[in-house]
Amino acid sequence: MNILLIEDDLDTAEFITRGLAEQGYAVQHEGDSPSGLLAAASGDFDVIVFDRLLPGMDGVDAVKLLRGSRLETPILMLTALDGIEDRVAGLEAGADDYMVKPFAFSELLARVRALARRKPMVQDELQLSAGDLLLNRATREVTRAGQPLDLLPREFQILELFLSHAGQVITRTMLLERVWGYTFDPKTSLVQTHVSRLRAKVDKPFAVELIRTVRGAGYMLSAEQDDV
Amino acid sequence: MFRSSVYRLTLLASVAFFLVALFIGGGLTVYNLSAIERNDEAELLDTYEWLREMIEEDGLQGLREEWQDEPWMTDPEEGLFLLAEEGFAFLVVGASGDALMGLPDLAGAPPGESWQTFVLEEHEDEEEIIEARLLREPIGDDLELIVARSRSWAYFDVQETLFVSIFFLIVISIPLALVIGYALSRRVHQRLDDLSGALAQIGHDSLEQRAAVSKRHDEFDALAENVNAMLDRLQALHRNIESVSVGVAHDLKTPLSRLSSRLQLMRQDINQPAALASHLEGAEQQLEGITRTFSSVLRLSEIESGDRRSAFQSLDLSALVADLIDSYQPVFADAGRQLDSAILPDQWLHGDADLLVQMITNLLENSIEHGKPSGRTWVHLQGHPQGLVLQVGDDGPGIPAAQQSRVFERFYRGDASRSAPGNGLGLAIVRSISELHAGDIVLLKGQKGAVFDCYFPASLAP
Repeated sequence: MNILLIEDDLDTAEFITRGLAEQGYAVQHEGDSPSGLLAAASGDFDVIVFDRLLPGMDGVDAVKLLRGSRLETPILMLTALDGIEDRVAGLEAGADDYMVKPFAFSELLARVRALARRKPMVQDELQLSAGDLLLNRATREVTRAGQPLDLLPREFQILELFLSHAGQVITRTMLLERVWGYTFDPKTSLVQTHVSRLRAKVDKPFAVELIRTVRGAGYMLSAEQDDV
Repeated sequence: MFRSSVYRLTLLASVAFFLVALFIGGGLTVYNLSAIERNDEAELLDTYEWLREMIEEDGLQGLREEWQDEPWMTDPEEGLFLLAEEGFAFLVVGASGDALMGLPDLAGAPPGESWQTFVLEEHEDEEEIIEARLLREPIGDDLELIVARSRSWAYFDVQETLFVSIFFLIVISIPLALVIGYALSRRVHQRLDDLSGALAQIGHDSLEQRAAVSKRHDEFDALAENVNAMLDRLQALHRNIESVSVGVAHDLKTPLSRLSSRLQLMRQDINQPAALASHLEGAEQQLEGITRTFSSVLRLSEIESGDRRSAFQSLDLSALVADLIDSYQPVFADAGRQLDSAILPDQWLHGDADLLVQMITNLLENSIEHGKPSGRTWVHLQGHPQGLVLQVGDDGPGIPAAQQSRVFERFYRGDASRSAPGNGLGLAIVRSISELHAGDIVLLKGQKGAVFDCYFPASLAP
């Protein structure tokens, strides 16, 4: 996987580059907006990680420029600004995801992977599946090994997110943002509680565990046992 | 002294007053004088008519007989005296222009009305000047009658009154204006000086002092009260900033020192992977706490700036609360607690859903953290005469009365040790979110547990 990192802070850039390289990804690093835009326009990347505050040009304007020139590469925006308005501005400009510094590397990795493997069709698929687990988006029915599972609406949403990103790590923050729509971090174990209830329904009565905890990162749903 | 605006204003007012007085006095005088003139003129005509009738009826001979004993009939000097004393003189002139009878000095008068000045030489070289109005008209074909009437005394009285008035106006009112202006400006200055002295003192020393307010309730007191109100606000802001910076510093001190000791431990245990991993985890936890504190402070300032208000929308608070209860039901169950709710459906509010969720979440988390084990927490959303009331309460130990007034302060924590989790910003954020929504949040007194009521203004469904 090819990743373009546009980040002016050298420490952060090294931290990200090293982490991604350890995962076997090729990372090209640019330190300012103009060279970053040039690289983005000329290279073939799977994901662009874009710092919001760059010398030369605001990241939001740069992303607008890229989207204006019909560049479709998924963009993950990084920022030190923790305002919801900044988040909205970034997403409206055309970024696909948004992360606030400081962050854990596992969080960045999970999001980069989710962006890179996101296939547009997945969003529209009527039926999602992993192993013997089936989720029907239209009828909102979930079955495992033919047995219907009785899920609460929240649990259904969580499972839907897991299934559409099967084999990828989904972090706690991603769940909060996408299932609950919260941009703040509750102190309590809101996500853990709901996920463990979901796991009790989806996995407990069955031999194969589909949803697993990825230590220090989040959760992953996978039909293959050696995927972690 | 002339730099004092009060003094200048007083002088200006005095000058204006003086000019107005002069104008009125002058006007009245002119009016009086012209009335007197008209009167004099009428008297002149009357006298003329009277003499003419006498001459026409009795002839000159008759007059001569009538007044034969009067000295002024023969002596021109006496005639002038008569004009001076009685204001009356006359002369009858024949066809050839010769004086037939009366005061010869009048002979030079032109026909019709005219003025003439006479000089009466009194004893000891004193002269009296007599101004007189003359009328010369023919009687029949061969006689001409000239009548003189001097100005009446009233005329001179009025003139004199005017001059005396002007004199007193100048001599008395102008110095008086100066004195009053000075006294007034001194008084105003004194109060302004007091106030500006007090302000200078406050600027120099401390925000604790206040400008003195007298019992007069005048504009200076209003100014002093406004200044004091401003100082109160400034002082509160100042205290706030102080408490925030002290709070941040305190709040960071503990995790930073723990982080530092974790790093030292890592150096010690550098060859023991298991120990290293646990130190790393500990260090990450401390950093997470620090980041959380900063996020909360930034969040608080974002809320208090009021910028979020521009994104307010009409939202169904009942649905929002119900959804939140659904989400938290399992969390409470796992904590061995009970979460009850009574929600009046279809209650709308103009606001920010994300912030309202955070506000209620903070209250719920507070009750999990501080409530008694296996206790009960409830959320009620009800109507209220002025809008909505949201109640979040628990049956825990509650908050000691002494601390109740401070729970919404930033960085305030019931236990001063800062060892308990949390940063003392949760309830401060709750209050700022409530205030952003024009809400009023109170901690109910005399309750068994901690019960918060938040009153929101009513909003109609869109």
